[in-house]
Amino acid sequence: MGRVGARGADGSGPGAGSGTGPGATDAGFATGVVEPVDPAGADGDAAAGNGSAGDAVGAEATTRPAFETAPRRFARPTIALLAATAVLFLAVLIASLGGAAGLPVAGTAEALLNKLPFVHFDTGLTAVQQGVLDQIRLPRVVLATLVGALLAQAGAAYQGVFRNPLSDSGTIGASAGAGMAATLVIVYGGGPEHTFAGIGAVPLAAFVGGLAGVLASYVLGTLVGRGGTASLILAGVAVSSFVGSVQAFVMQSSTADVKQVYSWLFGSFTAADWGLVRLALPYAAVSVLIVTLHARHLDVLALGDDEAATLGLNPVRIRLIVLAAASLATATAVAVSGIIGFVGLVVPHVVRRVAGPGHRLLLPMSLLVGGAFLVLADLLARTALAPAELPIGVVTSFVGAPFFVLILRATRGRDR
Amino acid sequence: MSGVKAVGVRVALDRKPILHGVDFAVASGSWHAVLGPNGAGKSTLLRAVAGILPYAGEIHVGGQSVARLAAKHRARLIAYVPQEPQLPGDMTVGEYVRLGRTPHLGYLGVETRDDRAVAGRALERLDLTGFATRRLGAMSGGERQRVVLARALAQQAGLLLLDEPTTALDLGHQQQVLDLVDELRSTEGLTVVSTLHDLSIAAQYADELTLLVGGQAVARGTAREVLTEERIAEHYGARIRVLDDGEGRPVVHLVRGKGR
Ligand SMILES: Nc1ncnc2c1ncn2[C@@H]1O[C@H](COP(=O)(O)OP(=O)(O)OP(=O)(O)O)[C@@H](O)[C@H]1O
Ligand SMILES: [Mg+2]
Repeated sequence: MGRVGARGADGSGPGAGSGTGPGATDAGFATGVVEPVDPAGADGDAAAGNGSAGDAVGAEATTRPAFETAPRRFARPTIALLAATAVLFLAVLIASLGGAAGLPVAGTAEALLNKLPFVHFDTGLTAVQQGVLDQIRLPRVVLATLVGALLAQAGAAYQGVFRNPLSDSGTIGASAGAGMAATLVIVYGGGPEHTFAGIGAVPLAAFVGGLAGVLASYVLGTLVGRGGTASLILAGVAVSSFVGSVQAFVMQSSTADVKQVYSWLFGSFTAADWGLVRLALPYAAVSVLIVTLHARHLDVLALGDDEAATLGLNPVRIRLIVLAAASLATATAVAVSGIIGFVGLVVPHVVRRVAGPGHRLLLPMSLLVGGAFLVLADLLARTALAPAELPIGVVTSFVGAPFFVLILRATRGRDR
Repeated sequence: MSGVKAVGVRVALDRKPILHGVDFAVASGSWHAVLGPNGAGKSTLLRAVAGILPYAGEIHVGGQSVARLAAKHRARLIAYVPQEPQLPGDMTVGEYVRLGRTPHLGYLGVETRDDRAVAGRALERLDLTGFATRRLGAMSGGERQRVVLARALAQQAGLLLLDEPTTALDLGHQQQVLDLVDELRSTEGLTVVSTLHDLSIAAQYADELTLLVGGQAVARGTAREVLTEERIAEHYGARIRVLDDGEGRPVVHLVRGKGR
């Protein structure tokens, strides 16, 4: 039999059309966990724990009425996004009000809205109050929002890339690499006063170290396991604990700097100013853009590499692109704030419960909710023991760790 | 036009040779069944044809070498249903089936109304319309198998590769799915290559069969030519009888052993 035809018939309708449909309305998903088709029939466990927050778990799944098996999601992604935006604005407002010098609520809200283009309110704030807001509160609030947004979205992206709900900057070597590099600079490199081309040496080192940590994990994971997602995470954990031990050794040998290193390892926004915001913004924009553009790709990756490939994607390349962009986000966040754990883990999981697993909604929602979460956590960090400050990583972990356990509990039916 | 022509296909997995030079040809618009005992290499052959395994030798689909096709182009040509698909439990049925449209979308993956209509029709054809908003995690094994098939149909490719598409289906749904695939084959000129463990079903539906054993094609032809008692007994190590269904197609029966 000879070759047949020049082109495969596919009877397909429109090719790569560019519609205007509300992208996020439909489709989209990918949660970390994947269930194989079970030819023996679905067991109760398959349905357990991966529904919305209120889902009953376990064997009664089979007897649940049909409507309950439908995911509880916002009918309209637009509403979800608007609600999250409102939450973020409220969080920013509350955080701007909190502090030693009292500011009037209404005036502050108006002053915040004035930052938007084409908005002008007569705020009634005094020049001093406006100065406090602009020069003291806002840089910190904005930086915290930015970092929270970056960490949360990067977490969601990592979880999509690795198809594992526990992936986070902490588990893939980014935080460890950044922490190690920053420690080295603090101990041996002259400390935070040191600058390099106008940029603080510590943020710069953290940035490079974060990327190097991910790269090391990736190379190691590829070497030992042909780049499978499980081996990448295991490699990340190996790199993290190895680097962590080296770091502990360095800190041991230089007790004078331990306090400084510690304050950095648990994150802080005390140094926040507009300069740091400006420093972070370009990297943040690039990484957020790249990650967001690959939302649907992440949905397809959730089906596994083979099926993603037969659907026309190159899973390895997409994983690499999104991984690089998310790591850029993490490195940027770590560089300006130190290591802040749990945001990247907790926020995407909460969002997923509300918005479903589709990345076209999950990614932007994580940005908004992550920003709101961290801005409030920072408010707590600087007011709880005022005038002393808690490291922000302590606050997020205090909230995050118990939550983490709850996630594990709620999703235990999916363990394989 | 999406016939398949494979010549001397060799595949190694983990450096272990699995396929040792398999030849087979499938005429455009026909149904070809790949049979063989467990571990014969049927799934491996299908994955090679799908273009997701590196292979030596030649595989042409619609006259084009599979290895040299760009992924997206290949995905518009070939749809593949794996033996054990991965279904994200939180995704809804409708969302999952719409992912079948991926090869027809631009880089950003914006779906048009047409894409949604195609996916909707695929759901309809597999009796799944009422399930569109259900989570995949809350579907039975057979329902999931139909969902995966719907996703493949939404892909609108000319060649359909099905790896054991009916293992989890009840009798009625087996017939429904096989008849549906058969109908698409005759009305839309779809080419179908499927592995099937049920030899009688293969004999009913396939135009031609390849018997694969130990990574080699040991027999090829119509059901009558391939499914003989001696051959099945030899390669499957089973005691069977081959009867005739009255229309010239063989029916394979297991013969019960002597022990109680
Ligand atoms: N990743 C792998 N590395 C090494 N050997 C493999 C790998 N995957 C499969 N094999 C082997 O290749 C052979 C063919 O596997 P394949 O899955 O193609 O069989 P099959 O004919 O589809 O079997 P079944 O009827 O059980 O589905 C088997 O012997 C299997 O053990
Ligand atoms: Mg198989």
